[in-house]
Amino acid sequence: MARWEPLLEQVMRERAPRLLAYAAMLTGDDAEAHDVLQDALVRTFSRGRRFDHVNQAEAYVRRAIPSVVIDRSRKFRPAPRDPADHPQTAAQASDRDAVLDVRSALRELAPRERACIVLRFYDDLTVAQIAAHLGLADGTVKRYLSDASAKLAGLLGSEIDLREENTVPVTAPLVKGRR
Amino acid sequence: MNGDLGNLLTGEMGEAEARFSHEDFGADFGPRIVGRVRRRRAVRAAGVGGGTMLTAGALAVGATHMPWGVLGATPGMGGRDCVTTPPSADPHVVTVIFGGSEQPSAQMNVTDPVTGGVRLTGVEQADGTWVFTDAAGNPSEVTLDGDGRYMVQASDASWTVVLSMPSASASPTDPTATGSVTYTYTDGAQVGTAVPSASDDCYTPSPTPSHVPSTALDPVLITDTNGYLKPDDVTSPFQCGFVMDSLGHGSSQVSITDTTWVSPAAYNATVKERLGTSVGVPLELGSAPIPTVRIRVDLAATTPWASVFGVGEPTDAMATSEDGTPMVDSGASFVMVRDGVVVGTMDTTTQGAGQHFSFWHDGATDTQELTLVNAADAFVACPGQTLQAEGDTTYAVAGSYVKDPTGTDGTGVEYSWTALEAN
Repeated sequence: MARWEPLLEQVMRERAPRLLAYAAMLTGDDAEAHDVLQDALVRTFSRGRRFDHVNQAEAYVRRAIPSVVIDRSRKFRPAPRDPADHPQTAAQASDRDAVLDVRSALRELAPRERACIVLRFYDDLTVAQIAAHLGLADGTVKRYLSDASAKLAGLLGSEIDLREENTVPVTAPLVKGRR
Repeated sequence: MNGDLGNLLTGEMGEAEARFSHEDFGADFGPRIVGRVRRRRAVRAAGVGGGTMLTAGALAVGATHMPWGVLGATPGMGGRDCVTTPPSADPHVVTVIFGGSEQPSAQMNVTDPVTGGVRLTGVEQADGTWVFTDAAGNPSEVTLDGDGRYMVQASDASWTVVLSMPSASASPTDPTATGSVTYTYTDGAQVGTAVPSASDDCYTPSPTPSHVPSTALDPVLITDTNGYLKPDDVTSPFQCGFVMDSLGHGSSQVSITDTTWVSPAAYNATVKERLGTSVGVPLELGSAPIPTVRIRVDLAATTPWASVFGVGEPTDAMATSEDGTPMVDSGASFVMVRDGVVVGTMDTTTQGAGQHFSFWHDGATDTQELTLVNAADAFVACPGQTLQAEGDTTYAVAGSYVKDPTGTDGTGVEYSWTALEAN
């Protein structure tokens, strides 16, 4: 068995629920999340990269998921949804209801808008980092964030502050090649 | 709201994680994922360099709309386009008979009529045998028998394919049907014939997302077909299957002038001395001595700033210089050799701390240094090969050519190689 296989199996065995949850948040669809995670795992482990620990491998898979989501959104047109499944207004009391509201609200966003929102407000990335991660221009990311924020504000009944704060810098690895 | 939204998203993550915690993702999808990774790694093992070619398309994208039995030619390799036949009532045993003077393409695959997923993928090897992998990525090597037939069975025995090729002892089903491919059951009942044409579309839209385990087939863009070339087509020591007829070889254009072995600590010190505080990501050096080769390139035909040197085979990717100066394109790598034949190529895809090479060029000379670091898993076996820690020899290989101002080759590629004596 190749040395990458036990680590891949460990990631699938131990980290799949968390990675699926992340994929589901980015896709808004549990079934789609399974396909996304499969593609992200294949993408991550096909590149000959060596991982020393399951945490490192999980981080790479997690990092691949938004890219997979965006790539798939370019290929697949999302199936039309029944508006009745996703109420447009919400004023729930409990935390669980609030979470359900967020889930429903996220589903109303376009794939790229959803990805930008999750990367900005869950992963705490800056606009520039999101742009680099998704292969988009900074201005495009800002537009997606602005549009998505307006939609979420309408759905959730709150304003979203897009100012960049409390972000965590991420250092890109050195890439060597032809001089 | 920022904090609120972040908290809500965190809550959503927790809810979703709990929702998925009852699933056994590895059991449900693991074998399929492992198989896809193995196939991709096998294709990547073909190496880098050379012209870009979408070669796995026939076994990947083209298969998605084929009801069953797909033969896929590799674009640019002289085969034929995809052909297809009506769906079979019994998909589990199929005979593929090549009619007339037709020969099978360099690779083919057979798809499941229900899921559309590839059940068996076959790739012709340099020695004329075929290596098949099943859906789980398990290899099964098959050779041609005296009647011109190949037989291969999936590892779980769920699928059997009989491939009949015309040979001296076999009667083609229709000697006049050159260019046709006939599919039959093993009982001989013909179920369809298709004549390929240029309009056959092997590249179809991707399947829609599904709630079933993903059978998405990966169109793989590879940049070389080393692993699939016949011996006569292997012309470069960077390629799988190349025969090294000597322990060392040089040319006037490029030569490997020196090989040194140093300890990881000494190499690390050298890197720090050269780069100072500008070191980006520290390379993983392991504990074994590290080989460095020095490669001299003749730049007399040009100027140092009109030359390029990189990992891998020199390519024609560089355009001519704007002032008409001839370009010199050079590259180097390491390969694994057994019995004088290249059986493994260096993984140049890994970047950052785990990468397997390091370059140094002082900017003033015509000599480059290429160092093999993190060597334990630096090599990828050629298709059909398994690397052996004992018995395989590491070679350094280099190539260079001068491209004249018109953009055509001026000298042809010249190569150099040397076996690295064990330290």
